[in-house]
Amino acid sequence: MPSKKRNVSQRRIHNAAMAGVLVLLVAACGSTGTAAPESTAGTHKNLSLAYVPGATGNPFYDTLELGAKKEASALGMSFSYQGSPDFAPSTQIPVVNAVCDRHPSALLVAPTDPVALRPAIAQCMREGVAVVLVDTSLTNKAGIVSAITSDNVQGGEEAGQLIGKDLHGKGQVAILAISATATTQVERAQGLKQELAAHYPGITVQSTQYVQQAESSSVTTAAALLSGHPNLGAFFGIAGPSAQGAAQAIASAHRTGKVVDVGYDAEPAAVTLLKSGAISALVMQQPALEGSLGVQYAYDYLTGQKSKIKGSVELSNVLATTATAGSPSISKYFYAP
Amino acid sequence: MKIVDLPRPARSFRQHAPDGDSAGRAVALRRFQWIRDTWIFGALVVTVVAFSIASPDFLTQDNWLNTSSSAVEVLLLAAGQTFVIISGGIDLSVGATLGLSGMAGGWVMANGFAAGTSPALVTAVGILVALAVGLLVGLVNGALIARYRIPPFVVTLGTLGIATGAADLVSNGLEISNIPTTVSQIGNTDIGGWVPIPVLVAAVACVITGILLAKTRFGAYTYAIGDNRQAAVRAGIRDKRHLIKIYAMSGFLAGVAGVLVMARLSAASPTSGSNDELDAIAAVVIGGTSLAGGSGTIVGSVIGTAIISVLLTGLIIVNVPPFWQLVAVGVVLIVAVYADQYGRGTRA
Repeated sequence: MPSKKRNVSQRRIHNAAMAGVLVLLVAACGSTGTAAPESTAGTHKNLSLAYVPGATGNPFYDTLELGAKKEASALGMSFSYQGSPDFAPSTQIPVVNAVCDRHPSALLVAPTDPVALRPAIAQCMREGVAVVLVDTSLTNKAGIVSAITSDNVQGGEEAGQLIGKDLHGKGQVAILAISATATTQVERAQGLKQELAAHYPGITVQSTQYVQQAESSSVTTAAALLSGHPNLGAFFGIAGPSAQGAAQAIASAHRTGKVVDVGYDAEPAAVTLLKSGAISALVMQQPALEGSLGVQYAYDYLTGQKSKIKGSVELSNVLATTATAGSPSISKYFYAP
Repeated sequence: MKIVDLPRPARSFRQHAPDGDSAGRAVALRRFQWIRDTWIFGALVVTVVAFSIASPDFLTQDNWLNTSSSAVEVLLLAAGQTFVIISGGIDLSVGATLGLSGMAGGWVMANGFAAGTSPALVTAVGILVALAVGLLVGLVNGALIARYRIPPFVVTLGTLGIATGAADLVSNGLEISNIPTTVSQIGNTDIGGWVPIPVLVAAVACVITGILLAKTRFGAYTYAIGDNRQAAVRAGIRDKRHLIKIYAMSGFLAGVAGVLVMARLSAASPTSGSNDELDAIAAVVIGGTSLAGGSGTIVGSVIGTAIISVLLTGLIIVNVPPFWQLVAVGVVLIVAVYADQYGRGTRA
């Protein structure tokens, strides 16, 4: 049985390995990855803004961050960023609490649930932080400086119009969503159903399926729907990569071009599929504008110019189709990589 | 020192093995295995028949292709997980390793492709990088578990976080989609119209791991370490080295899964594989492997994966409302584990 005691050279290797691990840990903690370093240039009023997205690593929220950061540095506010990789209240609430404990002047946040995030955000406001909501919203908006979102109902209606025309007024559409409670997704589905009921009564919503953030979940679900429902003529992927997954499923069934696939958000991977025709259309929001408006209203609030603030803003969406994807007036809305 | 065959007890196997006789118990457990496997296979057949009756669109070529393709990632993870759980451990990092290896391979392919290297070479190198990354994560897991004796749950939970973060760091959270089309051809070609290449790869992997577990010394050592680690060590089995190999294999299979998922999606995504480890563990447990270690088969894990995948696509085809789908999968898991406990008798 080999002795458990290590000899001198084994101990040296062990100590060197431990030291190496410690160095790596310190280096990793020191560099804050994608977070912007807190800039102190020109912060004449020492105003700081913190941004908590719905989920990190998401092109929509990343483009929003770019717009927000640009406006913040133009106004001389310092900018910090923290978030969790899951679009879920259980992981977002601790982040919001931690960020508010650092007492930024203002918080720009996209709540992952309209009710669950209220206590954390209310606590934040009690500590004197000005809160602006972007993208998703809360049911109880008391005390919120401004709630900026895209007109998600209008987005759903645009999709409904396109689907109605492409299906010539008859057939079925399936909705692929990720969250059953996020206000954005609820409203997009609502908009689609409203448009179909009003102008295309021959088209019904076959079902709403909930997929995961991982794209392969959308592929499997969409393919199963296509197998089981021959009358299914269209997909509306209202969140995440669901439309991209549906495009893959349609291609596997060799029905590209015969099944309509409308997605939400113009991230680079989706735009590639749009240009090739695998995705028929994308409803594009204006995340950079949401970000910069949010920062602007936070600044107005902190500098006492409250009259300039609009309590609630609904930006309109732009629809991009395969045919229009090439023109600059449309492509300028594509999200940054 | 070679491991010798355990002595067969003189009694018929229908009798419960005596409690104090570890060797006899091990033999009896392995003989009970085929009863368990048959029961689970019967459950799969019942599920398939039920869905076929409920909808004529279930037993179609399209649905077979979809179900088998979606089962591939969980199947590969479950194969590795079987070894890990039999050895008495658990590997929570495999889903994140799948995503990370896909991102690493995709990054190499995208950059090589952009630099003008031939697509075939770039694809091959990218695949090798992905497999190497998976293997590396597995080796780290194994080393920490075996040499530093940190519990597997804790270690793999840590590597889960590290791999998830690392996958996001590769491309700032974005998908990598400009990879050569040779990759998506691998993912989307059906041999003879019935066997997608990923399914073939997964099938071969299952056959290899199945033989490895059931018929080789490697498999016997795995059972021994899981059943009674002290006895295994005293019998001369180098348990630390063996555990490192098992976790390395689990990571390697996650790397293979990462490549195949990237091939199916024609893109590498950091969220690929997230939460797949739970499905893999569920498949392994449904297949009859005990979480306490010491027993289980690859065949059982394959059937467990099949049950989960069939449920997933079948419930959609039959139009069960989405929230009921989750309930159904949970109920099946509990019933399967209960039946497994019942089949073992009152033994702890």
